[in-house]
Amino acid sequence: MAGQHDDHDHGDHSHNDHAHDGHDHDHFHRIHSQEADALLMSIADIEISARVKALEELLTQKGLIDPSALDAVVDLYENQIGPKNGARVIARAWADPAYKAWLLADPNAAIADLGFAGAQGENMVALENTADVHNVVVCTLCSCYPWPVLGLPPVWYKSMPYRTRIVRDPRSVLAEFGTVLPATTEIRVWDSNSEVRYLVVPRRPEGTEGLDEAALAALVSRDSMIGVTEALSPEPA
Amino acid sequence: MNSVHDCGGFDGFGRVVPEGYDGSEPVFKHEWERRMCALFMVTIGAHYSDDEFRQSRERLEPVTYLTRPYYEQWWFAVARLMMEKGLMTPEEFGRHLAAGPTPSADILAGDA
Repeated sequence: MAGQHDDHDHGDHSHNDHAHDGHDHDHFHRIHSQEADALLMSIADIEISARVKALEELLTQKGLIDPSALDAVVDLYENQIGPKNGARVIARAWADPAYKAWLLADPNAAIADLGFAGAQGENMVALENTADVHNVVVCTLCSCYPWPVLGLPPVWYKSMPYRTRIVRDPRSVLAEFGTVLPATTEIRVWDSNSEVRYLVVPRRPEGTEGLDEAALAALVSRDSMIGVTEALSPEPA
Repeated sequence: MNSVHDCGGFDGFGRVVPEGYDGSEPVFKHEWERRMCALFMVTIGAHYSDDEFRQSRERLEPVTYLTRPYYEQWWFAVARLMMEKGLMTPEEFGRHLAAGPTPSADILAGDA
């Protein structure tokens, strides 16, 4: 297992950074946090939809957010950015060996060449599956995920069962997804972090010679780019 | 920070794949998840950093972390940061919530 579990650095230091601001600031900060916690716990059993609405309203009243911007920003991630982007990258890599070599060597540039870039995908790493090595991606600490190519992560990716077990017993997790690999296949689990995001390049399925990039892209599922499944097989002609 | 979020390798959390999973799911299952995600998107960068957001979520009390849905954890994390940064006070947030939503908020939330 090649997961980089220890190189996580999710900002645990930021709280301690207050120390150099002086004792008084640190003291103020802690009192403030306690008051915030006390308020949050006192209202924690109110319906979540009402709590979200109240936060949106208060921030709007204070002029801290523009409510008209909210719909536009979610539309982007709900309807425009998603795994279809990643599928185009993979299909290009399958169809064009030079592009694949570029993707593996300089993923940021190769992905940007197809028009995909942005937040939560600033430092991409492409992981090529082969007959001998199968790669699978997790974020054990939270939900780090390559937004520009895959959109927002699925619920199971963010769940405790996946985050806990994939690093300890990846074969059983893959089997749950219906992915049964030969015992001789090495499974490498990659633990994402706040800086580095991974995209699995699944193996090109058999029987896809002659398919164009659009037809190839249709075989590249989201889950195959996370690495819990392989790419889909083409329908028999 | 060393707390329950650092969960890689824990045993006993059960199945990963939901019943009836076909490889796809809606991006948001509830309107409040969509609104919370949007609130995060328009406040991060402007009012707090990526690292501050993660740490705010990681500071959630462990039982809360383990039992509240993902986007509800985001609500805790963002609301806490707004108060810690002095952008709203606990008193005014509590008072606003107690007063109930205004009609205009219903329209904004798209579920009037």
